[in-house]
This record gives sequence, C-alpha cells and structure tokens, in this order.
Amino acid sequence: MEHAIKLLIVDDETRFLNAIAQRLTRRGFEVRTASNGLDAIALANQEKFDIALLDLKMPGMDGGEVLKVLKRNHQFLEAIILTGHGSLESAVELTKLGAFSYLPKPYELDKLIEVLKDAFQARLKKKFAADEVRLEKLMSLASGESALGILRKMRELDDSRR
Amino acid sequence: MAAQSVGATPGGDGAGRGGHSRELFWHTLGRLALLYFVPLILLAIFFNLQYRNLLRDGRRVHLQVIAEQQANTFDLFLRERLVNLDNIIDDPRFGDGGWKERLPGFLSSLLQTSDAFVDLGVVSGEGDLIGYVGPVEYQGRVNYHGEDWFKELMEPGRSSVITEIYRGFRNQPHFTIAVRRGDGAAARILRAALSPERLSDYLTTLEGASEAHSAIVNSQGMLQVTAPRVGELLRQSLFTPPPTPERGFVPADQETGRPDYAFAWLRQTPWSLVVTDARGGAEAGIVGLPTGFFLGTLAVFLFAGMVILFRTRQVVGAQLATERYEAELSGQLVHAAKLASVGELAAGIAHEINNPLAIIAEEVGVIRDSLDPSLAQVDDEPLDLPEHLDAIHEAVFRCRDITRKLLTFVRQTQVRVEPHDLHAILDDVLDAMLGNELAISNVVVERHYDRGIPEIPTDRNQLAQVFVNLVKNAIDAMPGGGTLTVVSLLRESRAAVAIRDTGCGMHPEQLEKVFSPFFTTKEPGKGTGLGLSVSYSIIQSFGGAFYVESAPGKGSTFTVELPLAME
Repeated sequence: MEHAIKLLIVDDETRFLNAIAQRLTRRGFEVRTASNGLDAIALANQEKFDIALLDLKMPGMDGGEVLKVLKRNHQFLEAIILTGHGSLESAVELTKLGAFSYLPKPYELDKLIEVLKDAFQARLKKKFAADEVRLEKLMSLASGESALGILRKMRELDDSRR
Repeated sequence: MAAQSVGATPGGDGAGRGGHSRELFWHTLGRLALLYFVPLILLAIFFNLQYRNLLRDGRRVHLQVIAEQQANTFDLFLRERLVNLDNIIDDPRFGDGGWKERLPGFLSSLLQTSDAFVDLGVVSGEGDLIGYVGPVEYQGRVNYHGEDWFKELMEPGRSSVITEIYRGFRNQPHFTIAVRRGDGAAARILRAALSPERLSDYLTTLEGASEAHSAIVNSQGMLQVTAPRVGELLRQSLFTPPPTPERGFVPADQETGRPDYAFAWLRQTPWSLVVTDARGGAEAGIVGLPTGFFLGTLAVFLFAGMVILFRTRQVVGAQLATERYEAELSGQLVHAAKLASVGELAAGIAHEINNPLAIIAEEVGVIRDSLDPSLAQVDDEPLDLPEHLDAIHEAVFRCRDITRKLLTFVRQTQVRVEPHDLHAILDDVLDAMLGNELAISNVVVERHYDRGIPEIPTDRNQLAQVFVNLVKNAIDAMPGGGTLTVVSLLRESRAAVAIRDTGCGMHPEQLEKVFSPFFTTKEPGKGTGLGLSVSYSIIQSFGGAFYVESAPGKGSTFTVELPLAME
C-alpha cells in the first residue's frame, strides 16, 4: 500500500512481536520489527518510519535509551511505549524523554489504533507547523470516521506535498 | 580503601525455652543473693564482733567497778579497825598504869564495835608481850622482836600496821592489826588479831547480786580473804595482780585456765581485791552469741531471702516477657519485610506475567483476524491453528509458574528445617527466580561451587529469600551491568556462600549500618531497607554467620555461613 503508515516495532518477545506485526499488517500498516535496541536504531537509520512502538525492558539497550536515541536522530518520529511494567512514574518520565504515550501490555487493539492515530496527528502537526493550508486541512479531518480511516486520510495529506 | 567487615555473631537459641528461663532464673537469683546477702553477712559479722566487744568491755568495766567499790569498802573497814585501836591507845585510861585490868573491858568494847576482833594485846617497845586478853593461852614470854610486822611498826613515821593472814591460834587463819605510840624502848603497842571469816562474810554479802566472786590476795597472789568457791585461804590463788596500776583488769589466761579478773589494791595493806566473773573460767572468757541475736539475724535472712526470691521471679518474668515480645516483634518485622518485598517483587513479577498475557492476547487476536472476512488479504496463508494454540498454552503455563513463584515467596509457613542441597537453592534463585532480571540487567553470573558440600539442614524458603535479597541488591549495585560471582566453600564445620558484585561498593559509614532495619542506599521509594536486616535475622536463627566486605569502587562481597549440623 503506497500510503501505508510505517511502523517500527521493538520487543524482545519474539512470539509477541510476530503476532502484533501480523495483526497490524492486516490493518494496513507497513511493519518492520526488531528484537533489541541496537537493531532498532540501525533499522531506523536505514528506513523512514512514522511511528515506533517500543518495549521498555529489553536485554542490551534499555527501552528508554532507545527512545532517546531515536528521538534524537529522527525528529518527526513519534514513539509509543508498550510495556508490561506498569508504573505511572515511568510513564511521566518517558513523556519527558520524548515518548508520545504509553500503553500497557497486554493492550486493547482499539486503544492502540487510537493512540497511533493521535501520534500520527501529532507528527503531522509538527511537520506542517509552517504550512497553514495543510494544517487547516488536517484539523478538518473530523472524528466520525474510524480511526483507521482518519489515519489513511492523514497519510494522504502527508504524502500529498512530496 | 581497605575492605571493612561487619558481621553477625553465630549461635542459635540455646537449650530451648525452658532451659533458657531456668538458666536466667538461677543466674538472676544468684546475682541478687550475692548482692544482698554478702553485705548482710558482713554486717552481721561486724555487729556481732562489736557486740562481743561491747559485752566484754561492759563486763570488764563492771568487774572493775565492783573491785573498786569493794576495795574501798575494805579499806574503810580496816581503817575503822585501826581507829578502834587508836581510840583505845589514846584513851587516858590506857595511858595511866592501870591498863592491865582494863584490857578485858577494852576488848569487849572492841567486840561490840566489830565481831572481827579476836583478842587484844599490849607489846612493849622491845617486843615483849606485856599484856593480853583473848582466847590464846601464852606459855612463857612472847617476844615479837623478830617479827616483820613489829619491825615495820617500829620504823619511824609508822604508827600502824596490818599483817598478812597467817595460821594462828588453833591453826585458824588470822591477821593482826597494831598501833604504836611513842618511840624506841618506851613505845607502847596495842595489837589485835582479827578473824578473816568476818571479812569473808562481808565479802559474801557484798557479792550478793553482782554475779561476781571476790577475794583478797597478797602481792604473791596468796589468798587472804575469800568466799569458799574461789579457793582455800592461804592457798595460792590463780590471781597475781600486777603491782601497778592501783586499779586494773587482767584478761584470761587460757593456759592456766584462769579467768578474766579485775583488781584493786587496798591502801591500808599490801593486799589486792580481785573480782572475777561468777560464770567462771574459760566460758566467761568468750561471750557466746545470745540466742535472741541469732534468731533475729536468721529472721532477717529469711525475710531477705523471700524478698530476693520474689524479686527474682518478677525480674525473670519481666525479662522473659520482654524476650517474647521482642521475638514477636522480630517475627512481625520479618513478615512486614516479606510483604514489603512482595510489593517489590510483585512489580517485577507483574511485568513478567504481562508478557505471556500479551502473547495470549496477541495470538487470540491473530486467530480472530483470520476469521474476520473484512481483514482478509490476498496473500493470506492458511492459519496454522495448532501452532497458535500451542503458543497460547505455553504462555498460560508461563503465567502459572510466575504466580506460583509469587505464592511461594509470600506464604508464611512455619520454619521447616530439612536437609537441602545448597547449590540447588542457589541455582533456583539465579535461574528460575531472578534469571530474567539478571539477563535484563546485563549481569553475568559466574558460579564456583564446591561440590564437596553436603546437604545442610535449613529452611528452603527462608534461605532462598536471603539469596534473592543478596542477588537483587547486587543487581541494583550494578546499574549498567556487571559480574555476579557466586562462590560456595566448605570451611571447617560450615558451608559458606559468598556473593560478590562489581558494583559501587560501600563506605565504612554505610557498612556500619548495612544490617540495620530501614537502612538503604537506594533513593526514597525504591527499596524498603528491610531486606538485609531480615536476612540477618534469618541467618542468625540458623545459627550461622553473615558478614560483608566492601570498599568504595571495588564492589561488595556478602558472605553467608551456615552450620553443617543444627546444634
């Protein structure tokens, strides 16, 4: 799909990684996976990603570290933390580090799609900051449509100027 | 720079509760008894000695007073007798030539004055007896020229004399008093014999209620006047008072069996009055402990003993109650620590459980997606259902293992001491319980086990808890990762496990407090500070030792020593 939103998913649990990749691919995302932080950073340098889904507790590089590096290297990349380690403090800290939001594991798919939508919207806002026309069009993408529908429209908007 | 060591003293719970409280009871009783009885005994001895001295002094004074009084009385008596003679010799009727016929009259008047008089005689300046009235029948001329008393009396300046006792008429003891007028050959001497019996009677009367025996002795100690019990007249008595002082006291002589006595020298004669205790000889020399004093002391001791016993029971009871309370508190602390670290553990475990749960959710999602026509894709492969179901199943049991882990930790079981393989417990902690965490934290584990260590008696859960605590502390001390070295050794009758990290180490000030409850080097909110203090009390209850060596920058080594056999 040309207008597919590109996701980078990073998690050390292989089974989980494959399953979530499968599900999101079915729903129209383009998904790349990495099972540790270093691979994720390398991958992000090779391909352009819109959003990254990161697990926190991984061997090798810690999720927070990965987050910092990714944000530093790719300013318009939004990151969502996906973690089984439920604690409020870490959520607050992570947003300070640059994460857009965080979701607990296991997650509800609808919620994930919502968050992806919001994250992508945030990304476009940043990207279109200087472009009023596109910004306006972005804002007019009202709710009422499914999150996936909105995402597609946003993608088109994003691509339209290239 | 140098590594410092802080340790726990070994030692278990002694011979059990009963033995301990008995021990404590006797120990306290002994101490209290010593504390109270020793001074009591010392005081009793002291007062007894004082009392004896007091009695002895009192007796001595008493005897001396009697001696003095009696001596004075005798002096007076003798003086009076001399005065009686003076009166006669100075009587004008004596001076003119007719005294010979008046002699009997003079004697009877003397006898009226005192029945101690026996006879009356007149002696010339040359010693001849020139007149006599009395019971003695003199044959021929009697001359006293050679007598001591005569010589003494004739000395210039002497006007009277009293002789010592001698056996006289009818072999009865007598003594003589004499007065002189005039000098040289023209002197006239009036002499009278006196019966010592009267003096004895006098002595006896005086004795009366005083519980003392008196006698009069001469300077050689020969009895002059005596009450019959003290000895026969003219016999050597036991008493030879010193010539000086005039009044005094002589303590008993154990060798001769002579009792204490007081003496008083008479002034009229070279005689001494001696007074001795009626209770006699050796017995009087030692004042016995009066019954009342003895009973009183006994009563005091009994009372003190009862007080001590009562007090000891109180003290011991309070002590035991405190110990029980402490043990209870300690148990509560351990429990609270457990719960607190359960909180810590729970957080870690929650994450661990969430992963398999996420897998389950995801697999279910995948299966659902494949049944959803709206999500069908062109290049869909047929769903391998068994594979996904296996994945779910596997995840479920992973969860079960985790919850089981949690429950094992939380369960407040009675301490059960059984033989266990030390290394099995260590491996369980390092792999099953904390394997994940170690991996995530980039901690490399090195194990050096001494396989020669036999099974040791211990409570598996508690020991595992201690190791978990140490390993977690080590992980926390190495935030960027590091090496955890676990070494087991056989040391004499103990098995030792050393857990070393390559973390930041501790300063001496931290080392001091490291086993204290609520001490932690972590930030507030992270860690309760209870882990090590609880571990400490667990190891202590095993009768083991627990110590740490650490230096800043050099990491720490915690060592647990466990006895190979429970005492």
